[in-house]
Amino acid sequence: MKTIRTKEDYLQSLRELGSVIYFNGQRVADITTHPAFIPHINAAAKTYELAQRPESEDLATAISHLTGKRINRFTHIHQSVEDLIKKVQLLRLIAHETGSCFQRCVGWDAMNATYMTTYEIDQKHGTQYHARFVEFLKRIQSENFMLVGGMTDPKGDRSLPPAQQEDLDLFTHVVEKNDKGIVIRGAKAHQTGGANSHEILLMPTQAMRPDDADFALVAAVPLNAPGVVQIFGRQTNDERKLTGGMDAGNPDYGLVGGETLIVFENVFVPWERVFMLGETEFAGLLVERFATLHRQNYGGCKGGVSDILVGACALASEMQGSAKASHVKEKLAEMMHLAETLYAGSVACSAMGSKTASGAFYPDPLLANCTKHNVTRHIYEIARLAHDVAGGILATMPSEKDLNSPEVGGYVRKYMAGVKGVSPENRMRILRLIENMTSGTALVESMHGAGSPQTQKVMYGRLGKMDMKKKMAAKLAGVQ
Amino acid sequence: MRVALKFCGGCDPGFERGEYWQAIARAAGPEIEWARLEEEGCQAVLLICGCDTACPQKDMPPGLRQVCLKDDRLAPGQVVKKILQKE
Repeated sequence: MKTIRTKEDYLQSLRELGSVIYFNGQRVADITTHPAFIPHINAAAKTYELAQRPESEDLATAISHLTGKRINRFTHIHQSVEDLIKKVQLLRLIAHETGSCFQRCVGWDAMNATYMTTYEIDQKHGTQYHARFVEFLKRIQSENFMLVGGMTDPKGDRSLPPAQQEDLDLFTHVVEKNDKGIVIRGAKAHQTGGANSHEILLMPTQAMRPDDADFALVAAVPLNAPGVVQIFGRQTNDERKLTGGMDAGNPDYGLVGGETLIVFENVFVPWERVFMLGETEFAGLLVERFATLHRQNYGGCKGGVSDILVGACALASEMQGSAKASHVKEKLAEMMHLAETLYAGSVACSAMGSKTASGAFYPDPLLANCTKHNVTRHIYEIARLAHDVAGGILATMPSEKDLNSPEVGGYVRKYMAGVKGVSPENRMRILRLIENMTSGTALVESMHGAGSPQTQKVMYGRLGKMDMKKKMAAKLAGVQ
Repeated sequence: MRVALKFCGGCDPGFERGEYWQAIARAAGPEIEWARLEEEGCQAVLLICGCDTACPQKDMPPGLRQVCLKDDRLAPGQVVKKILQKE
């Protein structure tokens, strides 16, 4: 396959891929022409488009340490602290273009976590996983593929480990090994960008015990491989995307990433695509690294999305004549404070990053977790302030069809008027954007994407240096 | 062996760096002559850093062999062996 460079290349590659995807009970023949998928594809396409623009090339591309060639940064292995910081800057930049999740960071983080961990598995066990992965990565960089990072298994009964589930498929696992490769079964849930990715990089979902060897799997699978089926999830107000227009709020881009349940029904994976199998003691490390790399992102993308929301609220208040009210100015300042705090966390964990044995750089895990934990709070607070500033009209506004109705359109224009000279239609557009960006699924994604808050709190116990904190306190208090 | 000793700044260390070095120095005894990084004639540098970021690592003079510690899990005697390249 030729290198994907432009949006059109990307769309063509998805048409050629022809993954098996269902939405709302029906098989979708071509997602590139289906209105439920187009907004998400548009967002992911930005990762290709920005790499072509000279004014964003510095962030959107990098030089491959494997080939010396310029590549899309979303396929790059971080080689320095500067690379880690540029990652965060890039995410904020793209969020400004989309106002939404653009999905491609998940696979990027999976590649970086796999790169550094396979190196260490080989050091311990004398395996060849890292060399295999490097060959795979070279191809991904050359073809500029989009990967989905496949971590979360459905997990069934959470109180039971993988090998003790009544239905073993609730954790993706190996059912057969032969001289050519392996056969896997199971599923991965919440797969952001799955529908419009080319491949999935499977990883274990949690730390594993020796009994769980068949579940300790890292492997790459093309999403059009026989036996792979995707089921696209619903999102708040997604039917508005089907008709497009003003009521969709952000009609060209998704509400959040667009997630699928990806099912693996006896899928064959050749050995050259298997990067870990059975080394259960590395499963927890891989999960932690992927989680840290992914949590690093959130102050970048959510900071950027919040910038759009602040701008929308400022415009809404100007349009309805409340911009000079001191409480509105205070709320907008508070929204900016929260957004910049998120961004600061992502930059900080990047600046404090370190070099792993593989040579790849890794963010500070405690700070990265703290950043994502802040997202689970601050995005809700930013949305709350947005609702406060925008007003109750967010929840009661007439539709675009009413605006354009010969019978009642006049009333809508008359009573949606704000400041003199502001078109009611523009006011409605901005209010719909705010509604779109602060509704249901957008908030839940901030809570649970990259791990629920409890998974971040667990990291404080592990990484928070409690012994040193107690020593410092005891010393000051004169405790012997 | 003459070995330069360099600590990180210690903004939020995960262990007592000073105590750890004292234990390493005791384990080394006269086999290691400790020096400051600026001094001449060092054959290696021992970096004792409070976390994985290991801030001073990037500023080390090229050509000087580094032993970089980011936690205190390695026994002092093992650290000495590493410095002296006995393992």
